[in-house]
Amino acid sequence: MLRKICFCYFVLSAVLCGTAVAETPVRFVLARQVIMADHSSFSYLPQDNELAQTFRAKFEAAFPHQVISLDNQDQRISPYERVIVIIPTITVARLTDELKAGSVHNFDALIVGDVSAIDPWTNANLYSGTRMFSSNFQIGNSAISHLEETAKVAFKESVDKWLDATIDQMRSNFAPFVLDATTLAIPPKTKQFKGGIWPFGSIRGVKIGQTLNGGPGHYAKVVASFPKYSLVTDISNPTRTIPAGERYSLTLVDKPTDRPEPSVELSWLGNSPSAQEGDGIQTLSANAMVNLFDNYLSKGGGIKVLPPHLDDPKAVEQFRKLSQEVSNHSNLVEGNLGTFERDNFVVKAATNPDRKIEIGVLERYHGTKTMPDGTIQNYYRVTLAASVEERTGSEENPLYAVASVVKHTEEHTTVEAPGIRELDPSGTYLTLYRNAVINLAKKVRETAVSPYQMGAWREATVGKTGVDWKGEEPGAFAPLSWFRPGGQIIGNGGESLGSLYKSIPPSHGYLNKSVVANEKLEAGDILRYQSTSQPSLPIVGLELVTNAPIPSWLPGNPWLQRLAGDVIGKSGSAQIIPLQERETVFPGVQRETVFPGVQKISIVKVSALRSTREGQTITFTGQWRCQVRLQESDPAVPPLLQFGIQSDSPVTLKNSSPLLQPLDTGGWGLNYTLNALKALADVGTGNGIKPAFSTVN
Amino acid sequence: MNYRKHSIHALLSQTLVAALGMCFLQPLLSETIKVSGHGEVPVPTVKRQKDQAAINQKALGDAEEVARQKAIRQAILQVFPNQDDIQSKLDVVLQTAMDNSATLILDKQVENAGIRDNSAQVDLIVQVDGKALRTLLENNFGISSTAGTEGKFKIYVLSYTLEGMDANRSQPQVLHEDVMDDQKGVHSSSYANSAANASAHASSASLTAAESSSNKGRESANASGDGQYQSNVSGSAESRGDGSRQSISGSAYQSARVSASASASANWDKAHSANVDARKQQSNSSSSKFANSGSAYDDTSHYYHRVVDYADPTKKGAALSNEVRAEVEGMMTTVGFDVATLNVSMMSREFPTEDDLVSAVLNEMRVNPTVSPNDYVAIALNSFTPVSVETHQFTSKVTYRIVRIKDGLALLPAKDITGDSGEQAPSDDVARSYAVKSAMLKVDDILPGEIRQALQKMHRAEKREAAATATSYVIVVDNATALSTSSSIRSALTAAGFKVERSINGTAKVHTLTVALNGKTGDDVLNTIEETMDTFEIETMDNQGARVKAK
Repeated sequence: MLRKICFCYFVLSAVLCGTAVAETPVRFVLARQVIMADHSSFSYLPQDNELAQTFRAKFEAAFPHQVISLDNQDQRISPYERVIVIIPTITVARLTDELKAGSVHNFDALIVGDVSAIDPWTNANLYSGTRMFSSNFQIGNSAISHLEETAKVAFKESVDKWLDATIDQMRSNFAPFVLDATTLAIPPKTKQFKGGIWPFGSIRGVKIGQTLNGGPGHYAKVVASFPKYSLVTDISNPTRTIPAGERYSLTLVDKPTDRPEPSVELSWLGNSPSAQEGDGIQTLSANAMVNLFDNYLSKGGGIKVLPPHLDDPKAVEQFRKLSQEVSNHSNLVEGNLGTFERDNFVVKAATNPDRKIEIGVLERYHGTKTMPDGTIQNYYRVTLAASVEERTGSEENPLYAVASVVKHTEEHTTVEAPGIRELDPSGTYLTLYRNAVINLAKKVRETAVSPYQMGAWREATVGKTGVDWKGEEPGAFAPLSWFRPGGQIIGNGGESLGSLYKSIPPSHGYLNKSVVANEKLEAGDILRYQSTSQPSLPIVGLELVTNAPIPSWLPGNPWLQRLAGDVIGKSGSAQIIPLQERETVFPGVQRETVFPGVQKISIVKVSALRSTREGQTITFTGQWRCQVRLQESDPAVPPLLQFGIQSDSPVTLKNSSPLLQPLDTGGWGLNYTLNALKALADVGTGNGIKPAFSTVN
Repeated sequence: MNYRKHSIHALLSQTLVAALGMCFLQPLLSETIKVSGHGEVPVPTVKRQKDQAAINQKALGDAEEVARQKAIRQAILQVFPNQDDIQSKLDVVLQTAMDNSATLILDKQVENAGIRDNSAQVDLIVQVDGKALRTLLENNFGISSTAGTEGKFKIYVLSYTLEGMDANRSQPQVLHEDVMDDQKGVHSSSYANSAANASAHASSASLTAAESSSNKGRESANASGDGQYQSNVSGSAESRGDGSRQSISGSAYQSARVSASASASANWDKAHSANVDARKQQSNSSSSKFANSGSAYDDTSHYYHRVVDYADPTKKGAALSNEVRAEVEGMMTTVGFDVATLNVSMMSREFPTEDDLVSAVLNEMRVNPTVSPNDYVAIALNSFTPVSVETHQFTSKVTYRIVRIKDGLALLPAKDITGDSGEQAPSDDVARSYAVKSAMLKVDDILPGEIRQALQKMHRAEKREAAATATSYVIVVDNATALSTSSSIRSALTAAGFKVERSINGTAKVHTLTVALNGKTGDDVLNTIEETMDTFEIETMDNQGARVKAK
C-alpha cells in the first residue's frame, strides 16, 4: 500500500497497556487526505474533504487525546517520542452488477482499503488494518436513472463501515512499541508443563532470553519463541505453572528512530494481472496487488514494509506533500558522530533493504462449460507467487539471494443462467485476485519472513529413522533445544496459534550433537539451534536461457528463473542470485559484466518445450539442462559441472463431459514446469552440484 | 594498456574551519561491536547421578557468565584504543559495564556449549552497542578514546566542492576522465559520424544535449593523441577552436568559472547566465569540429569517456562553506579531536587529479607558520550529480581522508561515500543538502570504527618510538595467591642479567615487577619471560609492559 510512503502523525496508543506504555503513550499524526488508489468509481465516493473529516473524526474518537496536529508550526516530532503516521487508503472502489431475470440490477458498492501505521523515520508500513465492505442495493431497469444517488448513499455506508472496522483493528492489534497480553491456557492433557504460554512469538520480534514485565516484582523469561507464541518461565519460581490470564508486557522498541524490525521491499514481477482473453475485463492493477499484499503482510507486525512504487500521479503528490510536512516538523536525529534529518533516514531505509519480496502471476485460467440444463458453470483460477530474497554479500555490493518461492492457487466458481442470473465478471476477477493476494501474503508472513537476529533459528525434526537436519547440520557442540509437540494452543481471540511444543529437559542438563544420541528422542520431536551457516553458503548467480519457441504455458522468464533458483539453491546448499538477462555471450568472448561477490554462475537452459495432444492425452515435453561455471570463464571452456534431463509428462483428460473450455493448458504446464525443475535439481544433487558450488577454484 | 587522467575543474567551496578544543563524546547511536568470549568452569563431581544434570546446568550457566565477561572486556578494549588509560582500572570498568549490560548487549549467541573433560565450556558471541558503552564509561570514568591526542595535534578540516552539474541538470557529471587504449579499433567511421550528427542536433536543442554529444565527440577526437587532450585539461580561452573537441570544452568551462569568481557574492543570476552563454558558444563550435574529427579518425585506436566537472556559480561552489565541511568538522569535534580553523582557498584553480589537489593543499599548509607539521588535515571532496530532470533528486559523492601535514601519512585513508537525496526534495538546494547528509550518514556508521583503528595505530607508533628510549619494563601479576607467585618470572629475568624490583599490594594479590632495562629493550624482556608464562594467563603483553594473571 501506497500509504506507506510517507509520513506523519504520531500517536500512541492504547493498545499497549502496561506501565511502560502508560508512561510514554503513542501519538498519531493523521494524513490530511484519504489516499485514492482506485478512481474507477470515484464519482460515487464522498468528496475528498468529507472523506478526510470522517476519517479524522472516527480516528480521534478511537484514540482520544492521542492525535497531534501539524498545523501548529511549533509542533515538533522528536526522535525520542513514540509517534506514528496514520494513512488511510482506498485501494479498490467498485460498483458491481448482477442482473437478475433480465430486469433487476443487484448492485454492490464495494470498498477495499486500509488504515496503515507508518513509521515516520523510514516511511515503512508497520501495520495495516484492512477490510472489504460492500453495500448492496437493487434497482429495476425502470428506475436505473436513480443509480447515481443511490450508489453514493451505498458507498458512503461502505466507507463508514470500512473505517470503523479498520480503525477498530488498529486499536485492538497495533502494538508498535510494546507487546502486552495475558498468558494463554495450557492445552488440556499436557502433563508436567512448567512455565506459561505468551501469545506473541518470533514473528513479532520476541527472542529467547527477553524478560517480560508482569508488574512490580513479577517477571517472566522467554525460554522458547515460536512464530505465534512464546514459552516463558516465572523468574522467581521457574517450576511454577503460569495459568492463563497473567498479564505481561515487553518493550520491543525503545528507540523510535532505530526500530529493529527487518525492512522489506515489495515489487511486482512479470506480467501484470489480467483476465482471460475474451473476458474483456480490467482486473486489479499490479500496484493495487502489491498494496494489498503489503496490507496483509504487515498485519502480523514484526517487519517494516518499505513504501512501494506508486503509479498514480495524484497519490504520489499526496504522499510527497505529507512526507514534506512530516520532515518540516521533525527534529534532527543524533547519530554516532553527527546529526541527521528525517529524510536521510528515509533514503537510507530504502537503500539495501534486508529483504525483497517480488510477487507476480504464474498462471491464470477461466474455463466454462454449459450444462445440459442450460446453465453456465465458470471456473476461475489464478496462481500467484512470491519470491522472498534476502540480502547477502558485502555492504558495498549487496546481493539478494532467493530464500524461498511461496506459491498460492486461488479458485472461484460461479453459475450463470442467461436471462435469469447474469454476473459481471469484473466482480469475480476482483474477488479472485484479491483473495489470492491476501492468502499469498498470509503464507509468506507465516512461513517465509522472520525477524533478523544473530544466528537464525533452525529446526530439525526427529523421524523414525533419525534426525532430519534439513540441510546444514549444526556443529558438534552447538547447543540444541529439544521440544515435543502437544495440543493446540488457542489465542485470546479464539484463533489457533499452532501446536504447543513442550521443552524436554535433557538427561545431562545440556544437549548438543555430541550427546544427542544418548537421549530418548521420539518421532515428531524437534531440535532447535542457532546457525550462522547462511552467510557462509556460496553465492551463485543464476542465468536462465530459454530457446524459442516458448510455449504460452511456461511461466515468464523472471519467474522461471526464481523457481529454478529456489530448487537449485536448496539442492546445492547455495545462495542463488537471479542475474539480470544479458546479451548473448559468444564462445571466445569473455563476459563483459562481472557481478561482484558472485562466486559461481549456474546457467539453466530450457529448450524443446512443447505440448502435444493425442486422443485424450496431452504430453508436455522439454529438455532441462544446467551448467556450473566460474563467472569469468570463457564460454568455450568446459563448465565445472553440467547435467540435464529430458522431461516428458502426460496428462490424461477424464471423460467427465462436458469439459471446461478452453483446455486448462496453463495449469498443467505449470505443474510440469515445477516437476521438471525439481527433477533437474535432484539430478544435480546426484551429480555433485553441492561440491561444484562450494569448491574454491 | 589502459591509462587514466583526471580533470578537476571548478573547485571550491573553500576551506574552513572552526577551531576548538576538545569536546565531549556524544552518545553513539548504532555502532555495533561484535565480540566473543570463552568461559570454562570445572564441573563438580556428584555422588548421586540424578543430581548431575542440575550440576551441569549450573556449571554451564557459570561458564556463560565468564564468557560474557570476557566478551564485554573485549568490547571495552576495542572501544578505547589507548588501553593504558583503562588498564589500571579495568576491573572496576568491567564491573560497571557488566552492571549495565542490559543496555549494552544488543544480541548474543551461544556458539558452543557442553561438558568436556569435566569442564563446562561455553563460547559466546555478543553484539555490543559501542555507542552506549562509550557513553557509559565516558560518563562514569571520564575515559575518552581520544584523550591521548589532546594537545598533541590539531585537525584542520578542509572541504572542496567539485561542482559537476549542468545548468539545466539533464546531464549527470562524471568525475574522472578515463582514457582507455583500445587496440581493437572498435570505433568505426559510421559511429563517429552518428556522434557528429548527435552533436549538431544537441547544439541547437539544448546545452545538455550538446555536452552529451561532445563526450562522444571526444571519443574519436582523442584518438588523435593524448597530448592534445592534456593541454586542454589545463584549459585556456586561447585554445578554443584549435580543432580539438576537448580543448574547446576546457576553455568553455574556464570561462564559466571566471564568471563565477567575478560575480561571486554579488550576483549569482548574472554569473549563471554567463556560464550558460559560455557553454552555448562552445557547443556550437564543437559540433562542427567533431564532424571533422569523425572522418579524420576513422580507425581510431583509442577511446575514452568523460564529462568535465563544471563550475556551478549558482551555489555552493563559490560559497564560503558547505555541508560536507560542517559535517566532517562536527564529527571530528564530537570524536574529541582538537579542530582548528584555517582558510586554504583553491578558488578558480584547476587540478588534473584529486591527488594533485591534496598535494597542493598540503604544500600550502606546510608553509603556513600557524600550522604545526604534526597537525593533520581532513580533506573532503564533494561532488553532486543530478539524477533526472523530473525531480530535484541529486546524488553526492564524498571523498574524505585525513593525512598528517608534514609527510602525508594517512590517519584515515581516502574513502568514497555516496548519498542520495531521494525524490522528495522540494528544491535543488534542499536536495543537495539531503544528498550530502545521506552520504555523511553512511560515514557516521563507519567513522567510529575507522577512528578507533587509526588511534590504535597511532598509539602503537608512539609506543614503538617510546620503546627506543624506555628505561624500565613493568610486569603486573594479578590474582597472586602467594608471595612466590611471581618468583618464576623474577628468576628468569635475574638469570638473564636484569635487575628486578618487586612491589606487592596490601592483600598480596597483585605483584608489580619493575625491570630495569639498562640498555636492553622490552623485546629482550619479552623473550626472557615467555617461557615462564605457562602458569599465567596473559592479559596484555608487548615490548612496553605486561599484565598477567596467575592461573
